[in-house]
Amino acid sequence: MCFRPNLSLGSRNNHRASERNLILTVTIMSGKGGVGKTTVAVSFATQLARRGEKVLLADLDVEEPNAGLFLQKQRKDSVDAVVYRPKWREDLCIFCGKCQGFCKFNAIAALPKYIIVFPELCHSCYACSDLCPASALSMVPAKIGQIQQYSVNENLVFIEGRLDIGQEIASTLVRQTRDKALREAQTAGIQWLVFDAAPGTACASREAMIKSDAVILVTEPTPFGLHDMSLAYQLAKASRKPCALVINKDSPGYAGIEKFANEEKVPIIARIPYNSRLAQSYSEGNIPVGAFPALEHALSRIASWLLKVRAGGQP
Amino acid sequence: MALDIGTISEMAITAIMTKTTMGGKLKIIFSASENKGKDSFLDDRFGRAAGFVVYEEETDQWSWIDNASNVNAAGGAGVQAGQAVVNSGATVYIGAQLGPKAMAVLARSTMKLFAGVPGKTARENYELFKAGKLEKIE
Repeated sequence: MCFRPNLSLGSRNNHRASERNLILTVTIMSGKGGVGKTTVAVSFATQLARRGEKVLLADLDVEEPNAGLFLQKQRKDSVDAVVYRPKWREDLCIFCGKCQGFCKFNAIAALPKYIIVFPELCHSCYACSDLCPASALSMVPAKIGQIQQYSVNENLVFIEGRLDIGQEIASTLVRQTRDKALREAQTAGIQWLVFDAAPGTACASREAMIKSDAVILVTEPTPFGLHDMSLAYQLAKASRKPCALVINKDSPGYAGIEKFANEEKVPIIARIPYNSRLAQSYSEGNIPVGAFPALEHALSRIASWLLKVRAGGQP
Repeated sequence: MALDIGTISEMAITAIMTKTTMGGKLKIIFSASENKGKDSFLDDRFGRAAGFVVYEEETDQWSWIDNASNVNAAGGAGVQAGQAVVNSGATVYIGAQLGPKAMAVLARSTMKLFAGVPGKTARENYELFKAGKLEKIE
């Protein structure tokens, strides 16, 4: 990869990797789904690892984690992700109905003689439990998913959060998976921490982004791609994260992304030309970076931009 | 008929008992897409209905419960709309099919649930209900 020579990775590796501020954390986001976020995240992580960098890739798209499909890996660790939610105690309840008003997530219905808690809507904020005048809502543990850790090769660690079927609140598991990745990055001497975020701009996507040093927005040259990317961009901008665009499936004919980039002064740092062979490889669970020079070049450009960001603010 | 006693459930139970034992008057709530009394068209959504029209047979009055706060809720619209419908003290619901969460709420109430006919008004659905032509939601 063609990094800038004055930011030689080799000299940086050995003596400073354990320092906290040397982990470069990047979130790959998209706004729109299906634009190539996972393609970029997986190929970026594997390419860096191949170049001798210590990389941790975390799939934080916990509702549909699919980065693992592209990695030959060995499982090292699996833990249940647990949250605490209120359990109604009929024997203690005075049926005042206040819990229903305390809940900002519409997770409680207070009927005259019955309280219904909808666990799938609960955000584990404890408000109902703490504020119940009769202490009739005690918080009890519930499993919502799993966090698994894998070794891909000596340079690449992969962590994946996977939400259980039927669970509706993804952000708690995103946070837990993210924090495990951040801890692991510290102890394992990781240099690059890559978050593959959920598409969209909801809490689940934001949770990934707010702990990263920079945001890469992957988009496609379509009006739909522009629209959803611009929403994700607003989120990154509001969080004051250095931010850059990568146009995937690039092809001539639509200039909306460029126009947006000019107006917002956000750099387009790389383009990955549309290539049906790459799409076919992807569908077979394989992203052979080496076979696609244009992809390889784009990944190098992303790495260079990130190093520039670290070296001193957004270029 | 005295409905000014205690809690909503007691009101509801009283009303149902009055209906079943003494042929009493009903209080009926409809999911509605607009606030036009008996001429309101049914909303085919429950949690995100524009609101609910309520008809009291006893007084022949039509009233409105706004549901705007749930129309754009991030989640749990069915739960809160269900709560509002229970709170209304109605004894019969006629309207949109219920999602699982709304159903969980209303199933715990004493309310009778009927599937309304979309594209018709509350009044027209009321007449179909009285003629025994609406199907129960179960």
